[in-house]
Amino acid sequence: MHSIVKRLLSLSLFTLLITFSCFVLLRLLPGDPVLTLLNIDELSATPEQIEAARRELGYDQPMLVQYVRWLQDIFTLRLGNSLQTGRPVIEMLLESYLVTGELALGGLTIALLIALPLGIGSALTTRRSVVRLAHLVSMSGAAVPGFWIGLLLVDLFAVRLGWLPVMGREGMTSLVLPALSLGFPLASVYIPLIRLNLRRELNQPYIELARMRGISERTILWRYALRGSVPPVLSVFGLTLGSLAGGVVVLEVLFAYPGVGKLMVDAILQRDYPLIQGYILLTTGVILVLHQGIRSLNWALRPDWQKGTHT
Amino acid sequence: MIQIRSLHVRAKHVLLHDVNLSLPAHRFICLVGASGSGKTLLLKRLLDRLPDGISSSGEVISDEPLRRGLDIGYIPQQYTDAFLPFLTMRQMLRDTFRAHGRKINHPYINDVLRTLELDPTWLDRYPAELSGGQLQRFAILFAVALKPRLILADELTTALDPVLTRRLLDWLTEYQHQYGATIVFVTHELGPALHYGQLLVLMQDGRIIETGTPQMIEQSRHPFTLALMQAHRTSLEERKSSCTQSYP
Amino acid sequence: MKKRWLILWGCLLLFISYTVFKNPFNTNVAKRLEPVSFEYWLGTDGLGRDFAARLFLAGLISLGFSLLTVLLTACIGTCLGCLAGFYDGRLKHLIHRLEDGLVIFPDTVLALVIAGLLDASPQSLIFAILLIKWISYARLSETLVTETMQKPYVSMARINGLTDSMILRRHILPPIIRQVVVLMSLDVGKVILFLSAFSYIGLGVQAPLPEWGAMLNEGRPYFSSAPRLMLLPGACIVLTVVATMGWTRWMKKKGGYVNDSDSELTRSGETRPSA
Repeated sequence: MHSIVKRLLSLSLFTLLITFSCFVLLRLLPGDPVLTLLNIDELSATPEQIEAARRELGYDQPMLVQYVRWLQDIFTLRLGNSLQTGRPVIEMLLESYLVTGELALGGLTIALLIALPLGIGSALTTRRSVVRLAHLVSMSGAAVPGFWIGLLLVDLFAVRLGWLPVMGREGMTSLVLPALSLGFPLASVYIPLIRLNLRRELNQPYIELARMRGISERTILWRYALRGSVPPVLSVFGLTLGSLAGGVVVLEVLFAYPGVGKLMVDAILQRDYPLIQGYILLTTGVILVLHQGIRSLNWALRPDWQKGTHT
Repeated sequence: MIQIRSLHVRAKHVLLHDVNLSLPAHRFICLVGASGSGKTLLLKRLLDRLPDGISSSGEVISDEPLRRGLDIGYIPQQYTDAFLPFLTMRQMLRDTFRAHGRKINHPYINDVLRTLELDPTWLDRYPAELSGGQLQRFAILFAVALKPRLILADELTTALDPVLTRRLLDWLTEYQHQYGATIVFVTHELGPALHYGQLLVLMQDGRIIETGTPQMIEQSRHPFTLALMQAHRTSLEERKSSCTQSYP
Repeated sequence: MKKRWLILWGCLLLFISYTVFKNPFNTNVAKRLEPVSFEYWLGTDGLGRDFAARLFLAGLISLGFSLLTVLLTACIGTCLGCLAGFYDGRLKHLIHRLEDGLVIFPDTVLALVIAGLLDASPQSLIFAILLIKWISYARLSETLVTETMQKPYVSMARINGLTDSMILRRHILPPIIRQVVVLMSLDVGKVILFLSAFSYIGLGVQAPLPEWGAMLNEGRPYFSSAPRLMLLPGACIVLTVVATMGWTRWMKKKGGYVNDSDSELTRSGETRPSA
């Protein structure tokens, strides 16, 4: 219990730090925030109008008060409205998060379908061909830019053959190509990861000794070796989830898939500060939660780590 | 009763050369030899767990089945790495029983825990929470969990203090008498072999040099045996003069 | 060996002079989408610019960018890591806190954020990459420093009266440099991929400078008429990254094994784990 309380405390402190630095950073941006928020330039409004707006938005208050007000807004999820569409930032973000989630799920599924059999298979087999295949897949996935695969796939299957939609999001078929372009490079990271960790586990002395006690190969593989090899893979998985949470930027732009990444690219190019700010905060929160989730999963898999000083 | 006939084991070099050995049942058999003499390899061959890349020819004939865990119990030398770090001792024990289609035999296990001086509450601990001596005794517990009739003990003497070693060997002898088991005990020290063994097998460089009862070995004229006995006596003298525990 | 280098340098000189002479920026709408010819070795792109020259210049830019970024990151990261390993106390603690705080941020997210806060330019990308990748170098060098300092020959050297800086230079730095260089070579490939991805969506190298990723975007509309415009830049990226992988493997063989979790398979055809 004690450790969970400590965790929560450090997490909240950390969040506070992030929010404060965000707040300060945004205030330090070039340009007057009031002008930016109102999306006007100095020439089209009188000084009195600007002053009035300033007072209304609370920008004339001391920094600390502004910060508290800002925190309140954040925690009630009043993140302002987008400069591009005028819609509430929170709405736009949540919508696009769902879309990105869809894409991420598709990509992860493909990645697992490729990486698990190849990773586990190449760890267990003696046949060179399997190991070479795994290596080939892994290397090609790592060297080839995901979006290039996407481009080629689109131009082959969508434009030339017309089997799948070129872009946009209309049902399951439009998920296929983006998921493939996402999953294949992703798998390339996991194949050697799974293979290395599984072999390392299988080489552990306690595995052999379990055999000496008569424990079946099946139990050894599925309940011992795999369980032992999961934590490092899971940690990397946490990082993967984190980067997916931020939006699969390039692919979303390529396929015009309306996820968080595409949203942000447009926001950056249009300088939609409320949206950018909302994204930073929400994504940080999501990433922190995801990481804690992964950590808890790892603790569940290795209960012996809690007893020691393992981080 | 196990017969080993013309056993050759080789990797890049010959590791075991033309081993012919009869292991009678119900005896305390000691395989004595220096590191690299092939004694551990012999054990592994009995368990049918030779490492990859090692080939063997010859036969091992036994009149009873030799299933790992059920008929053969193995006590490893490196007990520190012998256990799955993410399972409690109890869970591992349950797995061991389940692997042979049984449930934990509580009265028997509790009895063994008692004689091994292991606190039953330790069963719920993880290996990282137990000391070396505790782990060694648990290793023995796991080896005898299913009452195997053949126990292979790999260098029990090396990593522990002499007092504990002695107690464990006494325990093994008890087990042997109580369940009519055969003990094959591997060591590089002649002392415990002479004291506990009923049949000694001396090995060097993958060959069997001599076999016999302790008396026969003590009176042997074979050069290797003589050298071994001489070394043994010298170490006894040294131990006596430094007033530490020794074997009679 | 000498001959190979000569050929390499010769090709390089050839490409450089080609690029200089055939201006990669000159748009010539009259000559757009010309096929491969003697005048334009790889034809022209959608705006009539010499494609080969653009490809080559883009390569220089990509390599330059990633080498610079990786060098910067490696220096800063290794320095901080060595400091953390050498000096116990608050400095070490501070560096650890920084690492823990920044390690969870994924690269794309941070790059987006920084691009959003500053502007969409290569500099922002460098900054973003720096903020993330320094951690791997810092952790690597810290671990190495701590390990090496515990070795007996270091305390021997200290007893023999060597000053701290001499110990640093002769005992501690060499193994670190070996492993850091391996990590760097792998990162060069990753940074090139990263740069091309961001240039593709317009947040990296800006026009009129050519970049392989951006050229993929430019070449897309002409896929049916002039597929080379989209295939060649992609192929260049792949080949370059594969080259860095090979370079990394060569360096790993020469000495120094980097213990990172995503290291590739070293040799195919390995046997089952030994029993």
